[in-house]
Amino acid sequence: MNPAALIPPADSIPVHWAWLEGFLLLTFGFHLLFMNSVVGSAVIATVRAVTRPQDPAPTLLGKALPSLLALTINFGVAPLLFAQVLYGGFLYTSSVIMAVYWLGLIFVLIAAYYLLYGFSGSRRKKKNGTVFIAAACALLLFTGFVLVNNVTLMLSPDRWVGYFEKQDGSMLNLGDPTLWPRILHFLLACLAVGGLTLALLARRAAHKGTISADVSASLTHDGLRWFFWSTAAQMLAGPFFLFSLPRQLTTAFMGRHGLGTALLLAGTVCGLAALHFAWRSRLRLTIAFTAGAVALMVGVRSVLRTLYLAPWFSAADIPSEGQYSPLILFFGSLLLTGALMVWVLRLALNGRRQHGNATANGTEGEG
Amino acid sequence: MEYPVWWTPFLSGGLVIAIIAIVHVFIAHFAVGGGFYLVLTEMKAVREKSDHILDHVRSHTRFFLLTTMVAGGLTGVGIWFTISVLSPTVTSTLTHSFAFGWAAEWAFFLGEIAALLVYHYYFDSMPRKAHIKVGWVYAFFAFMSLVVINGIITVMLTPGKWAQTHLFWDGFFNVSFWPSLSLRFALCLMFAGLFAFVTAIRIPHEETRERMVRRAAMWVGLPFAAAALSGIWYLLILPDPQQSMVMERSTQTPHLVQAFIPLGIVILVLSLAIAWFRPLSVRRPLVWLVLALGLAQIGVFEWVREAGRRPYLLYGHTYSSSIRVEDVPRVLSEGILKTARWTHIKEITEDNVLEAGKEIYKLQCMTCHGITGPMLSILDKTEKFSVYGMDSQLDGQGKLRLHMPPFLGTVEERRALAAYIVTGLHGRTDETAPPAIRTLQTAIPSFDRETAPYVLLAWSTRGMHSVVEDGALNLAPAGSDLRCQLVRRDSTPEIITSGVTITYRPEDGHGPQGTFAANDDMRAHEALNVAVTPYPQPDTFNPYPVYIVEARDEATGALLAVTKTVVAASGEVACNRCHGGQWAVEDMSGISKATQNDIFAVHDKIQGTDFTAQAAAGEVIRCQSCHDGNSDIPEFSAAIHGWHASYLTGRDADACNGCHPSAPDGATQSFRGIHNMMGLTCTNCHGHMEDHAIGLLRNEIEQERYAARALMEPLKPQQAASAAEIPPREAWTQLPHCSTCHDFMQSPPPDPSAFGQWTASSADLFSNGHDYMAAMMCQACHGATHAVYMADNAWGGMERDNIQPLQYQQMAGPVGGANNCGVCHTRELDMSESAHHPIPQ
Repeated sequence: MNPAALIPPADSIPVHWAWLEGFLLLTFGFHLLFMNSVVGSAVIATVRAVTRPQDPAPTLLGKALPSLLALTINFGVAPLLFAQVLYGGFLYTSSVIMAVYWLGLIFVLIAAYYLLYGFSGSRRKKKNGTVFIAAACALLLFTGFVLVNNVTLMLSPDRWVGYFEKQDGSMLNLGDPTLWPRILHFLLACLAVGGLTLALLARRAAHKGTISADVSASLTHDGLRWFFWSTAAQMLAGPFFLFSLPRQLTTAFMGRHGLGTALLLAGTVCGLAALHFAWRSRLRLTIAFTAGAVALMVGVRSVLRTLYLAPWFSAADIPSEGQYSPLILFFGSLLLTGALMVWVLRLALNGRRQHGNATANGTEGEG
Repeated sequence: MEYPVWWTPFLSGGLVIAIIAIVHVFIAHFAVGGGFYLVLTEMKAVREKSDHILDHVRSHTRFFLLTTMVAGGLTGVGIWFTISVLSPTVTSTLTHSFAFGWAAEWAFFLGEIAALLVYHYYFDSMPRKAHIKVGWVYAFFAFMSLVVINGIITVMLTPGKWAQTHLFWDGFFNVSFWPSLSLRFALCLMFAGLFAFVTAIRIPHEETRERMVRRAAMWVGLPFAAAALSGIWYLLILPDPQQSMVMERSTQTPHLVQAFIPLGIVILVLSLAIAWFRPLSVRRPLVWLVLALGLAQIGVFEWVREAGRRPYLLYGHTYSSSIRVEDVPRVLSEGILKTARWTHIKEITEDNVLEAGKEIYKLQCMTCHGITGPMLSILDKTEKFSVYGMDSQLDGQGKLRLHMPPFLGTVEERRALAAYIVTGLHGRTDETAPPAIRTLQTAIPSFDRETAPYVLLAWSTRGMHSVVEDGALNLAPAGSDLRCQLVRRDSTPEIITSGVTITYRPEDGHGPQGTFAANDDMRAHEALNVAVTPYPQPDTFNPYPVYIVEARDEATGALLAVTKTVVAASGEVACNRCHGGQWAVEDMSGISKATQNDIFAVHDKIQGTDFTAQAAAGEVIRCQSCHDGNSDIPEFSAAIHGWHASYLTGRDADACNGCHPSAPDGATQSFRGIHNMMGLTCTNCHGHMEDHAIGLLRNEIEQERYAARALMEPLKPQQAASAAEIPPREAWTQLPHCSTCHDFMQSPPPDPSAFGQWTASSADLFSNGHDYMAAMMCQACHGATHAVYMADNAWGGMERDNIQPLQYQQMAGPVGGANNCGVCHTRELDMSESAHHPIPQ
């Protein structure tokens, strides 16, 4: 069966596709950072909770994990929306084909979320909470596994014919040679950013006075080590992923496709820079170059998606309705949200500086 | 149609969405109202300088965070995931048409999350005033997220101008936007009160506890009036098809609509009870109960909204089967298998009918009907149907009862689907053993042509006559009209209308007996409404009992003439093909209790009657007691044909054979006279089902019984370009006129049609007609309708229905035919000079 015959037609989009692709990449970048942070932190917390029972790292991470997950999920919503608007014909299709797993994610995530709260509560009561964090970690890794299956299946119409043998929504994309390399790549990225998260939280906690400077330095060092070694391993995992791609896509990123190659190179350079600064314990610079690497890799990913779909589809071909006033609505909502969020964060941070008020008096109290 | 379909035999998609969505909206409305509750309560704490109240706000915030952020937020995403998988088509329409609405919604969620995280985690490490500001920011973002999603949900039910313009703002600010927002926000505030109970009843400080519990009850009570009024506003603002679906036509929503306000009142009362009864052991279960009722209430509202939208997912734009209205013409002409993308069967062959049916089921039915499962299981819903019945149900689907989309596909595909459901899933076929027709002997009375002084011609006016007086169902009461003409044989014979007593009695002794009465206008004797039934003996079917008719001198009692006639009466009315159950008598006739119960249940469901209960109480339901032509209700023939015509379209006489005892392989085979032998079918005279029904319905409309309009609307005539071309006809009095085909000059054409040429009144009916001399009645010589001489009777061969021709002229055929004028005339005559009527040679 000709795979092209299976691809649903694209519904028209409200504005020029570049807007939507731009929003997709921007919001996805944030999602990646938060997702790497929460998954990596969960893994590190699990490892440390198991290997070092009284370790402060899991407690520190545990406090942040629920909020990190909230932000990960929130920042997952936006790129999922824009991906559906541009690539819905592919993404809805792959979601239906693996419907059981896709819908199951909701329950997996609810469970993981409550387990993270359970873990944080456990640590607060000075208990180990290993079961909570290990279970949450497993569920989060499973979530990533399902997502990678979906996004790779989405790009492979030639594999969609498997649906005709398995229509009950339980088909995955296990036969795709890029699946496990991609998962490895994402896992290492998670561990890296998880390490950075630990380091960042340790520094902040020292600043707030909730842990001692020594403990903070030790945790920061540990976090940067996690980052260093996983990013070093990434230097092997990355090429492994690259070479697992179909031949013409591999060569595209090795010179044939100008933009793709440039982005990949730049991203790799950022990664190497981040490695360098991690080695030198320069946390802020490590974070900056990591963020840069992620941003560039989001670009690489976009080029990869375009090239995967090129035989069947181009987002540039979707007719646009030219309805720009809703876009203005969106900009307005973003501005409003941004402004209010900045205000709220300012109120919070200022307030903390003034040691806050635990009473109902409304004036500064003992805190 | 464009996407693959998830095969879910064990549950219905609607149930999955219902569970996830109702849980989500319950929590989400709390997330909005609760935001206002938290910040207003914190302000109260500051105003009263109460640390106890502040403690309550703090603990309620934690509860709020754990409930709304996790379960609330993720079930919202869950709805999105679920609809993406169950209807990618509609999800795609919504995400594409309202992309930046969804995007703005996301932005507000982001603000909500940030504000709530700060509100919770910095509860005690900010100045109180600053913290309150953060609370207001949260409440604002929560409210804005309600506003945005409200626009998108309401456009699905009342798209208004968006359906044509596809402009974002036309869709967003649709006609039900404001009442929906008003209702939802009122519910938000009420639910804030309900959830406040959870933590308020556990406040340790007694005075604060009682105050906060009472306050929570106020939060439930004060917005209630606004909620009730908004609900009424919402109902009133709905445009017509949606409004009538919600209020009347749906079998679910009218009850739910009625439940909404009473449920609210119960919630109010319980809330007051929680405030009143102080022990925690009483309060806790009451709080659980009131939360469950709150969930039920929002569930009722959402169910009404969703069910009111049927048969669409996006009103007027996309059906529940995810087929877009604009694609319907293509699907109808090419078929669903060819137009759907994800099918590997494109053509139905003899070998793949069931498999093709399964594909079609998956494409059009699966989204709402699992095969098994607790809701709308297709096995439950189709238990009663034969393949024919299932096919007919699909034929009529979405035409008169509009909660389901019509079946979209070719007739062949529809049949394949019916076969899959009934044969593939239920394991039944329509094959049955042939009916156990008995051979009935008929002794022809003697007649001496040389000496007999009289000829007695007697007949039942209706050769095809259904009788259904089965248990609680009286659909067609027994009552045959018998007529006879006694002729004194002479060179110019004389019809005797006085001085004679003519009687009738059943030949085998089972059945009514009586005396004919003279009717001088008809120049005949008649016995009207004789209650001959198809079951002369209990549990025995005989549709063709023979009656002996004897004419005696009134004065002397001397027997003047004897003859016999069949008085046809059959109970072979095959309601069971669609309404389930088996035949009641000898597997050939009669409507069994199971079939009746289904007919009553369906009539109750659709028309709001109470037949099921009445029948159970022993009453007899007589259709014509309401369908009598004297009220707004269509008279019986128009009603029954008008309704069922939508379910039996595009057919020939097989539509008729399903209900009338005329099937050529059936138990009665009522259509058995010369017309049948010439190869005519019901439709030659009566027209096809749709056309037949339209004639009756047009007459209803002329009689100002306008309910017929709704019945007529879906019907497409087969024999005319439009319904307007079909002349109205009154049942039983305006019937096909013989002269349409028979001009007495030449034989009628081989495939004639008498449809649309009705008798002006009952005076012109074949059964009331006379010859040119106004002497002999048509039926005297030609026999009963549908069994016009010569007739071949399935039970009694060539004898049973041709008794008098065989008796008087030893030849089946019209009495006097083939130059047998001598039956009545005692002189030589030439048939071609007949004064009765010209006879083509």
